[in-house]
Amino acid sequence: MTRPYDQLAPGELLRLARGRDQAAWNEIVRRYGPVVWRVAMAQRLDPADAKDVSQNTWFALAERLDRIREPERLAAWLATTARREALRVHDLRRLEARPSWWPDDLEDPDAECWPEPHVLRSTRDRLLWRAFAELPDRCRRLLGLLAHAPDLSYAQLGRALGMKAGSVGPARGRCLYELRRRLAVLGYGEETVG
Amino acid sequence: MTHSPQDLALLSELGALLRRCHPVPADVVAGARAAFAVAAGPPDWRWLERITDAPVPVRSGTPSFRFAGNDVRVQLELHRLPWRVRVIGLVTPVLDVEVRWPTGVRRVRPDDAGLFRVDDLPRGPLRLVIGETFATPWFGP
Repeated sequence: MTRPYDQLAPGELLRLARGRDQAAWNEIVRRYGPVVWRVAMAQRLDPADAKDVSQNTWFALAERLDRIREPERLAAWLATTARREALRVHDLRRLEARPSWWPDDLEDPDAECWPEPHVLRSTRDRLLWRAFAELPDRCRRLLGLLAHAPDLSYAQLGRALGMKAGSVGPARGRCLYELRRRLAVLGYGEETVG
Repeated sequence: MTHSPQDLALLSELGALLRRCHPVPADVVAGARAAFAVAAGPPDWRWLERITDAPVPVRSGTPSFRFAGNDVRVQLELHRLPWRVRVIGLVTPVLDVEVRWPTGVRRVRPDDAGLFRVDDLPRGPLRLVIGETFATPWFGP
């Protein structure tokens, strides 16, 4: 019996994609697209540059499907490649003349943007969103990436976000603590607050 | 990384919420999906390799690239204008050049020295196909 694509392991998806299976590739994009996008946005590039970073990262994977030796590290490979692309674009932009009104530090979309009401389906959603949005920027970047790729190691997270590997573990603990503290204040369900 | 079951549950709930509240923009997803078919190219293409790993910024950040293989060489500069890109290149031997992007293509005939210029290209990854056969990998701004 054939299993649905969303239940396949990364290795199986890569094997199918090497056989030119577009649906397997689409599942890879669905699963890891947010990882690539979050790493690109973490570099504070403008949205057009972040789109370039994402596109270049996916082209890099499409051209190297045969060379991914450790499928279970696909998320880490994509995060590292996106980070490298983002740094490259960031360095190029620094050399360019920009208009005087160009912001030095673009807004983090998680900070200011309140989602459309229909996507916050419950009180729990609203409270979690509010608690997350109130976290310091560094915590939103770290937990936002970890939420999409919980298997990344401290070293991989550090590389993807430009943090020292030794600081990732303590930061993770502090950020989760801060998130839970805010959730508790807001009255979020005890069973998940832990 | 190993997480406690409580941490994993909270991260999983956060991940699901972020997927709904801040989804990857639809055009980014479409581009990522399209990369699969576009990257492969037809089977009879022969490949040029990039000579330097990273683009070398010259003249106030203009990145330049060099590719070679199968006795074909091309070097080019990417000039970024607001929202658009201009490519100026030199190809030897002198063969027609196609500049491709994920959703389109522009064909140009170089001058006798092999110089060519293509204006008004979209931002994002580009590839050259020289003499309809010799293709570069995708390269970015």
